Amino acid sequence: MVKAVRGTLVKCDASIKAMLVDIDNRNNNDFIIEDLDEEHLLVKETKVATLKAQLNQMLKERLKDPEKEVSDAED
Amino acid sequence: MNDIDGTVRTVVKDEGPPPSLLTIVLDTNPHAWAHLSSTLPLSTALANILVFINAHLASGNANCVAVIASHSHKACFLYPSPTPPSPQPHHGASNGEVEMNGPADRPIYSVSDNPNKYRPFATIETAILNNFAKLIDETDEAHLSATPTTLIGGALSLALSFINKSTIHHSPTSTHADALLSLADADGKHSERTTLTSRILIVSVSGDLANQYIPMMNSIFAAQRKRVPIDIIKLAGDTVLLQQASDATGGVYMKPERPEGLLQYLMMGFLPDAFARKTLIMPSAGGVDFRAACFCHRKVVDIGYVCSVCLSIFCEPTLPDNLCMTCGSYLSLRSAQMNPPALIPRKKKKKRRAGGTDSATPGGSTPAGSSTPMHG
Amino acid sequence: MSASSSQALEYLEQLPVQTHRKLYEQPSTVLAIFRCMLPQMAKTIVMAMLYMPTPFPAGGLDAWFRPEATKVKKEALYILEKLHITVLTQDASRQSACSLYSGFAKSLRQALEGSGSHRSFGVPSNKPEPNKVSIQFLDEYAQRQWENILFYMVGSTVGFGSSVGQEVGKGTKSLLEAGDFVRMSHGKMNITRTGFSFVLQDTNAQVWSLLIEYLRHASQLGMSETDVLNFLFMLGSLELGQDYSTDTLSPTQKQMLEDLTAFGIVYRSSKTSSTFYPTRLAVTLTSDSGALSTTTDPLATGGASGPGLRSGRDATATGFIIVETNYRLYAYTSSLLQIAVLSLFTHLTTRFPNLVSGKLTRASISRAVRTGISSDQIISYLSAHCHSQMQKTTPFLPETVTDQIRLWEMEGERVVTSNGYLMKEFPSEKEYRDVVRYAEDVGVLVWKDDANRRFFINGIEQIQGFLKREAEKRKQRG
Repeated sequence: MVKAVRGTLVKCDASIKAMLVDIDNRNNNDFIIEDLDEEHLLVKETKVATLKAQLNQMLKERLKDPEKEVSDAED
Repeated sequence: MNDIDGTVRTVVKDEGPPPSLLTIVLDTNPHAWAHLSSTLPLSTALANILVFINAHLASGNANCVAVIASHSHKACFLYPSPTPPSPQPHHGASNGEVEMNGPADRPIYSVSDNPNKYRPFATIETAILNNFAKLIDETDEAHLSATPTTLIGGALSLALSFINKSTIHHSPTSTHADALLSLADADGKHSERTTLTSRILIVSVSGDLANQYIPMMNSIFAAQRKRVPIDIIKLAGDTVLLQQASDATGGVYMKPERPEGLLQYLMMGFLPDAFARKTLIMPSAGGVDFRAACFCHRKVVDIGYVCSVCLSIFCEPTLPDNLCMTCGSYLSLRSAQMNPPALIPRKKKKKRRAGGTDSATPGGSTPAGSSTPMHG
Repeated sequence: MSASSSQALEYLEQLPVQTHRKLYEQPSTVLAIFRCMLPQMAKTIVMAMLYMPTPFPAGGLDAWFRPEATKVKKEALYILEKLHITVLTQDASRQSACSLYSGFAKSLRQALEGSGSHRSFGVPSNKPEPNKVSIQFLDEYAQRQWENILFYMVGSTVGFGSSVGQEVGKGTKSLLEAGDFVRMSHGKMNITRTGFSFVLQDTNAQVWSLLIEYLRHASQLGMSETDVLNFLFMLGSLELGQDYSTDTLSPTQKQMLEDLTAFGIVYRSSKTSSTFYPTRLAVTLTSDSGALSTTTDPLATGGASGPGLRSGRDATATGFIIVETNYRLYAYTSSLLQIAVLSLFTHLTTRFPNLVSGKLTRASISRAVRTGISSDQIISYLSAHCHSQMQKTTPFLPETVTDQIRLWEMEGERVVTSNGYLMKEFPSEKEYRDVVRYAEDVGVLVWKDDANRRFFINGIEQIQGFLKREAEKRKQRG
């Protein structure tokens, strides 16, 4: 029988997906309902905001901003 | 994620279809309507057309309409009301209709404060009814007896010129004129940049329009060039010309079997504008009669004579002074008729030339067989 | 259908059938819904059926549309069905046919013909008004009221101090909060994401957003939803500069008048006045936000001349922004509201009496994105207000700038999300393919995975209906 699962489809590139899965693992798999393919995840609707916030946090920690100095200097 | 490419950065597209201008040419020929009065009196037809106009206006907020009467002695605008030359330089024609009714000797219909009617509809209806009543009043017996037909050609040119004017007003490339520039820049939205889609609807009742063959054909070609479809609803009579008009311009041709159902025909077949027609299958004239009318007696002819200079068509070879009636060049049709198409003598000439000058030319293209004995 | 009325359509769609039926008793409402809610093809279908004596057989409808236009047809029919305008019937020979809901058809006919005695297009006041107000006055009034509201929302966020918003009534303020356009936190008012999109919309869409919020609110206040909606749609069909009598209004509607006066949608000379004037905000409710309704089209404004609200509001502002390829931005404006809006996403540096200048920077854009403004909103705001000199090129904005704004946004937004349903575990390939095709046709398909027979949709009602019909068909067959 056909099944319908309510949720939020998250589309991202593979590197971001790896981070999302990582966040999910660290939070008792509370976010992701289903891993669809390399670029898509099905996430609980209520958890999207938290997931995004954690992702941004992670990005901030891990990525240096190469343009920052340039754009500041330019101004 | 890297889905930035040329396709995403297009200008914000207008969601809605472009505004459409419907120009109705109403054949008000009293003779023809008199014939129809048992099934569809003119007043009923007019009421139906008014509902149709309202439906058209309701179909798009920027839609506009123009109505032109093609009467027996003149063609004139019913809406927008013809304005006397006024200091108002631009497009105000349609704004002025309320004042127009004022100075008239007696306002037959006035924009009443009717709470049961949507105001814009009431305004247009009133203007049309007033102008129509004026037109009927001005028609006297002399006009009626003068001709049994209608000035469809003139009405069609009026319609085309109105469409052209409106299109210029709507077009984005109006940078040359100051008034138009301010018009185009008055708003930040892009919707006024989409050009107007126009169409003409001829509600025709008169038969035998052949005497207007030339002006009609010119209008048809103009419409074709401007990509303005001419729709025809033929309530009575039959004319080859109108069929050709709709066929050449890609319009709809309908000859209702029951004219009393005019409104349903209009609503179903003629309401969709050019934009909607892309998705619909529209009725069209099945077999179109492509015969032309001659220029001398306005008769529809199967085979006629054609001026070699201006391509005018004549039904008989007797031309005054052997001069073409249109362009005045010498045209001896009688001689064409006297000499039967003399192929044989000409062939002989050709043969000689072919053989004498250049045998390498594709002589084979001339009737075969006959050239070979020359060489041999 | 314009973008601004699509939110009204969304609201209408979710109303129950009883409310729809009740609404359709009012010709002005029916006409307004027809004019601005329905897509073009739906209008065509409705008009074709309006004077049709018999129901339109489904086969005939199919034959009328070109085969490649099935998608358009389905969308149109879907909306009509959802608004309960069309009724599907089956005759004796089990041929399904489509007909209009009789109440809707009757009202629409009355509206087109001007017949009946429903008095739903507003009763003009016949009393001679000693102090009749001019259209210009109404425009100024509406503009002032509306800009106050907008400025109240934007002003405090961008730091114009606490003086803003004194002119805005308490009711309006609480409505803005209820609609989550602004949020109070730590005694300071902050604009929300919805609020931003609200401010960056065009005026017409703003009015609708606020009114829909008002509608949601109305039922809590014990006002009848249909009454409110009918009144709003009636307002949209009134004529600017004409005063209308309040005698025929229901108590709910009289109560509404006060709130609408606060928004600047109607004007009354005093609270007890027996007449009211609709302002341009009201009469453009049911017309396109597009240009034609205010400038060139005499019909929509009932022949009223003079600058439209948009052009009135943008008198200084009609195309006032210049953006250069080096991201520098010049705006010829002295309006605090516009400066406030610009400063939401621009790094403004200089202000002259009639000009502010600044630069779109990565920092300013990502700040805006963080507060919830999307790049599309910024771009559409800029291109909607760009200077006439810039409008000579297409697209109006330099492509480098628009691309860069999008890229800056994406740096912050690394994921794209869409809410909806994942459909999976289809028993057969054929069934899967049928449902996917249907989902694609009605435009709800977001993602699909053919190998595993699953796909994602952002709307389930139609699919449910489709699955149910399919199941029934199978039952009949089997």
